[in-house]
Amino acid sequence: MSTYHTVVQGEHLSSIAAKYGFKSYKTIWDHGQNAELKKQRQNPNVIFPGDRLFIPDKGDKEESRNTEKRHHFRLKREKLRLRLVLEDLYEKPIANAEAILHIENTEFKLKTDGKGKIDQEINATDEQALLTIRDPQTPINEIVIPIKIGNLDPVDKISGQQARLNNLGYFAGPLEENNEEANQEMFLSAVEEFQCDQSLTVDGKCGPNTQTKLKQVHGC
Amino acid sequence: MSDPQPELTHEISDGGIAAKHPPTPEVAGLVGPATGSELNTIRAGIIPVACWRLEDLRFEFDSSFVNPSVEVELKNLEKLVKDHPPTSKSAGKPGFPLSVFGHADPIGDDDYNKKLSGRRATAIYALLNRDTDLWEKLFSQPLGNDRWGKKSLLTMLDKVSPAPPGENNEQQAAQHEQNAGKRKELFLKYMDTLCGPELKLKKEDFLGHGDDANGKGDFQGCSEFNPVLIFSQKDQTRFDRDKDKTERNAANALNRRVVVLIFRQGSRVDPAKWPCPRASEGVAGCKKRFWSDGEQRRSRRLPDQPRKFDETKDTFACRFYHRLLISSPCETILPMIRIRLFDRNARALPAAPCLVMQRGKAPRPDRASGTFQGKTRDQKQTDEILSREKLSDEKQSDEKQDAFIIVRDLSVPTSVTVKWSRPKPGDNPASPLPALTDEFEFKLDVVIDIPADQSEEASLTRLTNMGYVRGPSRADDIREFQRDYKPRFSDIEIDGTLNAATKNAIQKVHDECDPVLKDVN
Repeated sequence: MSTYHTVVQGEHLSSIAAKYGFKSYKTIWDHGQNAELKKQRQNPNVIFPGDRLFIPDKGDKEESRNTEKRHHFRLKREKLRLRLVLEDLYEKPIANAEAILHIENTEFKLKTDGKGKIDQEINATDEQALLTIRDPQTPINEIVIPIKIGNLDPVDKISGQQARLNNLGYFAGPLEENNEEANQEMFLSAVEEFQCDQSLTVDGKCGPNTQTKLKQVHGC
Repeated sequence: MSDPQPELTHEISDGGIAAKHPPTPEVAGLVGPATGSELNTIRAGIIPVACWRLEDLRFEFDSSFVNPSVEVELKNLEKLVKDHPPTSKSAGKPGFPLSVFGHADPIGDDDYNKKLSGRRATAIYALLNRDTDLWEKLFSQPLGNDRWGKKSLLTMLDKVSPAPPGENNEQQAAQHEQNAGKRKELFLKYMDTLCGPELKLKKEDFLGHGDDANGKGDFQGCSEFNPVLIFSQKDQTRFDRDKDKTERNAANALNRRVVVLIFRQGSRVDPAKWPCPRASEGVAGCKKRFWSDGEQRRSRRLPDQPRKFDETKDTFACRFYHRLLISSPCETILPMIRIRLFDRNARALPAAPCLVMQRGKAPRPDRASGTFQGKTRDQKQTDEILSREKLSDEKQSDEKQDAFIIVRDLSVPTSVTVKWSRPKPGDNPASPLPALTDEFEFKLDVVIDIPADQSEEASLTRLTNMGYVRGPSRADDIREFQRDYKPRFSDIEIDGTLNAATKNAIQKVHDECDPVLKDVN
């Protein structure tokens, strides 16, 4: 039976596909009924709470082949990855540094590459992670950074802008609980700092140009 | 329930404050997984963990020369640095780096103030580093009123090698004025004396690691761009009208500060990318970092109220500085009371030795501001002479900013007990402090935070503060005041009651610290 699924925070196409027993998120994402959402969101890993996804029937898959020949069928497992690039102040890569990545219940001892990148295969349902970098030459040495996979909102949402600014070292709030004014101001100053550093027009409005740049610099 | 906040220590002294910043709110990194080439960049931010603020009063007026009394605040900085060890004290591991920010008040133009605030930042940076070459630059290249001159050499000499009684260091100072080599030695001795052996930093201990020859990233001047206090329109109009700028300058003192920030361990900036221009450069770099409404923030005036950073958090034009200091205890305005010391004949006593006793604090020896050049006499002699001579012949002090002591860290309202004596000729800010066991000539319990009205209680409190307490009754005290001040306020009736004219006079004389007495004929 096909159905509709309403996205909640923390979900992404791969985790939803796994939930409904699909081996590949593409079966859902590429379905005609989801074309509009796909066009709007573009990245299946960054969708938004409230989005409505059409979940098609998990029917038999038909494959036509010549009966006179021998055929190999390989089950294609979609691999999901967590890819992080670690940088010090002013885009200096934290290169070749020890990194401990705790994903749900598994610990991975990794090393950042020359560009500060770590790239780890994960399960579709993994959400909570902890990252610790060991590099005394950086201010985040030995600091445990909580990571929430699949909780990044699209860049045209304020929450998505805030998350990317925070990741990029421009603290954008929230600063204080129950202080909307202070939080707004914190967000505003972070947007302006980013705009200033990127030589964009500094107006504190995270409009299309700023959003595009933010997505590009952040990586998604 | 959230975890309790870690203990935040504040050390508040008359000349400044040393404090830890509250920890930044913990924010998880929200990331998207990758099915394609997506990635998430996680970048470290520039985050201060502690701060140290030095008030204008520790500098010579309008100058970058730092007074010996800064010892108090340097002791507090030493504690802060001990808790956040710098690179040079961390056996090769990166430490907690520092950066120095100087600020000017809005008097004067942006460019002049950029240079002046830069000079103060330079002076402090050099002091901590024992960089006598930078001090020599400040000494030999004066700017406007910032002229160290022989006076500074005299102050330094009096601190490091006080002259024996009856002599002075005038000749020495003159020699040092002519001899750069000797001056350099004196600078170093003075720096060592003020900082002590433990508080000694190196270039690598600062945020830019000394990578830039002119200190980019290590120290900078913010001109007048980040005021903590902006006068109301009402006050500004009054100050503009007044030819005497003493009150305005005193009120603006809070803006003329130096702030040192200590950053997270392992932080290091690339001077080329650090947004603040060098201390010696102009304002263009600063203006690039202004809020889009920066000009409004630093100059808008309210009609009747002052604007204060710690109330509205919107007085800094520089967004970059704002973000660094937004949660800092160092940019709060602490109540600060100025008490002016007089003798029984209402003559101001510059450099008067005194003892300040606040509830809950150890008694603190101090000296009033200014230098005493007058003649020495005891009170009895003075009384006799005054009954014969005109007061105007006795020039004790005509410096309006002299004879003040500053008391801070008060939970107002409160009272403070001050004991003081008349100074000896030649007493100045570098003279030794009195001992706790010394005998003092005068003693008074000063009540602080008198309501700004003219209620009977308020008026009587002011009278007490001015020393009219000898009785036998309050009516007698009032009558004594009335007799003393009738020549100046002719509408006073000498009747021992708090009539309107008397109350007005009491408030004016008390609040303006200017009890000029009539001439005794």
